[in-house]
Amino acid sequence: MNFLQQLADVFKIFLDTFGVTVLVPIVIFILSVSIGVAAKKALRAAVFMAIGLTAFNIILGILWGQLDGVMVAISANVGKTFDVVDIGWPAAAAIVYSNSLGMLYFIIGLAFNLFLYFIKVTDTFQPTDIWNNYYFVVWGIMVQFLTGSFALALSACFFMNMFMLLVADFLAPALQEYYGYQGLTNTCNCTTNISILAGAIRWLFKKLNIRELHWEPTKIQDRLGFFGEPAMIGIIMGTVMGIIAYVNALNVLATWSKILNFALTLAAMLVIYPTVSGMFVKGLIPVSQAMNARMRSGKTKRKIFNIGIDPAVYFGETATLTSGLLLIPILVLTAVILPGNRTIPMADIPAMPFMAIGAVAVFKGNILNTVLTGTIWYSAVHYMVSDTAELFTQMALKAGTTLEAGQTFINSWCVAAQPPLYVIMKCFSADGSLRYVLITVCVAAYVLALWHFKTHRKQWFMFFGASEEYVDQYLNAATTKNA
Amino acid sequence: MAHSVHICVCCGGGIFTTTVVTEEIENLLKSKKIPYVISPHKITEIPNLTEADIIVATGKTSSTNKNGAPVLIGLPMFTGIGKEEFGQLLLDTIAKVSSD
Repeated sequence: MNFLQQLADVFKIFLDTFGVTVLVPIVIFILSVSIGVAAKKALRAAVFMAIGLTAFNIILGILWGQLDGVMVAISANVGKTFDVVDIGWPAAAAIVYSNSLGMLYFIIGLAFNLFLYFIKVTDTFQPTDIWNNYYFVVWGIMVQFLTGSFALALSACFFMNMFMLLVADFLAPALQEYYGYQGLTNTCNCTTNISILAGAIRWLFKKLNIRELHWEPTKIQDRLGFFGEPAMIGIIMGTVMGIIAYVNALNVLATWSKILNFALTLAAMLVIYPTVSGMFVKGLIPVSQAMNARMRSGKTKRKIFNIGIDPAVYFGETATLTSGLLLIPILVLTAVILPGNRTIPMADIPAMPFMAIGAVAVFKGNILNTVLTGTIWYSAVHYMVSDTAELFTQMALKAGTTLEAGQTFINSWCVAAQPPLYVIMKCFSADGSLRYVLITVCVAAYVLALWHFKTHRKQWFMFFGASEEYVDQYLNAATTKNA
Repeated sequence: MAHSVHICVCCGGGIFTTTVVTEEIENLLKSKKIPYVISPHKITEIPNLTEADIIVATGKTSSTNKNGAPVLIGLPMFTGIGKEEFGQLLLDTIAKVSSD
């Protein structure tokens, strides 16, 4: 820990001198080259990453300024305070990887993942999907802000990483059975965590003998198709929110200029993000590919193993898309209604299908159950987004985003939508000696779950939605493959 | 072939898998000296992409394009399993599209 602390201190000096835009690509370049990526390829990737980061800081400042005014106006009209602007997961990723812990975890996390995989704590090979580490590292950084301790923050990251891998192991057969991608599992918290509640609801329905109702997804998708496009989501949601914000002055022409400009800004944000983030992501691709190639070339003797993959490959499936699109108006509505909530999903609205994936796999594509689970799970999330906004805003300011501070806060609705990680963060940053009691409870719960899983795999796989036949085949294929 | 083929690569967020698959396709088309235009999109845009000659989605989808551009599933380009076969399929589709 001491050595890591010193490493973090050195990082900080470099960070303060050069700024993140220079330091992040350098770290990525060194990491890429050290795991065997050709220098030219690594350099090109690193330069693109710097460009992406620069572009992000420019557009984010502008967009925030625009979204800000509407949130304030909505607050005044609804008689509640909405002072947390949702800036979206692509921006959150850039912010997290610009933090010294975020950067360090690239290297430490990679080693840690390999270690966990080789000592068989997990069956999931995660280094192919290190990009999605930010979903839990963000909570680690919050621990650091709250406690001031780098060691605690890093321990929290390790713990959340292990938790995420355990869920990825649980969910693997259900994902493979429903989506049909053999040998893959998902290592992104934004899609897997909801499967815990989905599994519990499925279990409850069975106990109570509630018959499952089925909705035909294709018809709904045909009807929603046009509105599901990011540009259209931006225009529609932007206009609706604009009208709520300026409802008292709709007879003034200038108001409509404000509303339509806001709608276009939101649409622009949703459409521009992929291009900018795509540049940023280029920096990480060589590492991910090098690990992927190494994994495939090596003759593995593992009985069961799954490769961690980005959830984007599950996104386009019909029930997933449809559930996600149905959740959009529901969750915007719960955000406005729920007392004490300070945020409304905006830039992360198009990410809703991602957040449905874990439940879709558990319910085998049952849209009604997925939407029900999503409504419960993600309505609770509004409060977590509100509660962590101050911390997230501090992080963004440190990462070099220039903001008109004071008026509103920012957060990413999708990144903060992780109830288990929220609880873990709270335990690791609790006051005084209570902290150590809570951490011990967390670790004990994890060890117990892991031990039970290793001895009762079949039960866990079925709890997470896989059918008995599939689990048998999954476990059998594993033994014959090895024979 | 005077006209370059326009390929739209789509995934959930239009970011991670799209970027990886785009790089793979670019490498392939450069090596075959096929002129191309390639752009990142989201799966939800598939029905309304008017500029596309060919659409490559990184994961399974049942979405179709209103202008009739073929939708290929490019997951092999991401995972590396069946990459050669997918490359051939893509080249065949390009040949077919540009002869129409």
